[in-house]
Amino acid sequence: MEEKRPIRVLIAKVGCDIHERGALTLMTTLRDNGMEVIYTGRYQTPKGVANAAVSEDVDVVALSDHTGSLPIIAESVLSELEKFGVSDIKVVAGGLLTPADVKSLEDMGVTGNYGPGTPMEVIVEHIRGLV
Amino acid sequence: MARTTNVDELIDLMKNRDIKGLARAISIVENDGEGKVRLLNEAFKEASGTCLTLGFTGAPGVGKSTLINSVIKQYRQAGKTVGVITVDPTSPFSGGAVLGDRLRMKEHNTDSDVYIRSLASRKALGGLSEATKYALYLFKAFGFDVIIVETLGVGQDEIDVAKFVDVTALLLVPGYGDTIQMAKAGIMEIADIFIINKSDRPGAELLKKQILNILYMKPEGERPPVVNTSADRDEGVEAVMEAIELVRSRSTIDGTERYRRRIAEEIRSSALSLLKNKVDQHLEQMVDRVLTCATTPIEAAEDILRHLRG
Repeated sequence: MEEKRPIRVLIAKVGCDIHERGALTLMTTLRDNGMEVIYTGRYQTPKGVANAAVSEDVDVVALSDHTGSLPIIAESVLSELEKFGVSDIKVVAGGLLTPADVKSLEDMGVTGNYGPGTPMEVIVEHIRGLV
Repeated sequence: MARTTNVDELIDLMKNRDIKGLARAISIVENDGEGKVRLLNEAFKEASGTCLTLGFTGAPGVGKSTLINSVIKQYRQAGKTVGVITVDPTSPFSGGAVLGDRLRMKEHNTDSDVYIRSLASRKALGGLSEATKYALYLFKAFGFDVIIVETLGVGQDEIDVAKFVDVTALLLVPGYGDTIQMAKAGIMEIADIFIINKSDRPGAELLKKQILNILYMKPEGERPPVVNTSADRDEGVEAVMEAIELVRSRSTIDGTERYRRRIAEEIRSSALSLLKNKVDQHLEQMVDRVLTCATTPIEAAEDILRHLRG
């Protein structure tokens, strides 16, 4: 039997990106929708994100970035998660994305991939659907 | 590997010091999952008796997480492994929570000898959730050298943490209040150490005098140390470490009695939580009866207890 619990989400920002508004907005929105949200803060490493995700036993890692580096970030976070031997933590992404970025993220198994202006309900429903 | 909920597997993972095992086990006990009781029993038997448990408490925003970050650094330099349990509030409206303490401790994010776990309070009273007490068992079984518990940002009367850890530190900041405020009962009484954080701000020396003013009533050997820190600048942390050692050397005198009291508290708190679940099952039915004037709330409470006994 799987225990019943609120959905746990780690919101992560990797690398040199100061643009925090999206992450903070998502943080409070998910809280208001009954989820437990852990925020890593800015300037994290992929290894730090993976360690936090495993330690906190989260269901979802949400990557936020506005420097155009999401595919690289996602790839390195996924590879660090693999080193921990976990494969069932879902990874979603959002921020500044080109259509080519979205394609390569989807190929990696990263879902969501929402750009600026996405209604919050869409993101909330997507995360609920994953868990 | 998919996330396992197999208790034997989790126990093995924990014995091999794999944090995946600990992380999953905490989720299970936090959520009343299957295997909770076995995990906790096993953990109690495995628990290390030599680890040091520290509690940090104080109002929201006084710098508990930031100071803990510096304290972790000190213990890591001494080669100790550190486990941290931090608690942030659950929203009474949505049931969600923002767990933001980890953010202040991010310099330890890639250190495999530091394990940080954020818990949501989920209706806890006294500043310490049921899950925190259970997570403590699991942390002890995992065998950290030092275990740090950071409470919710608390007010005047949330003093639970002191019952479950070896040393309790209370954080205050300049501007906290006058001598009368210091003399009030509750949280001011449980501190083994007073830490005046943000001491680079005006009023830190005055606050120290006001605290000492009250503490002078105690015999010198029992007087809690008062320490000034500026956690964000890493200042005063050595003094915190010395204060911890001082308090520790004192508490060995009545160690057995202290342990007895802690076990009593652990039994009481687990029993009350079981009782609460049972009482809750009858609640709706009793509310209906009171609303239809069939009984009063006081009688209803006694009815429930009679029912439990039967």
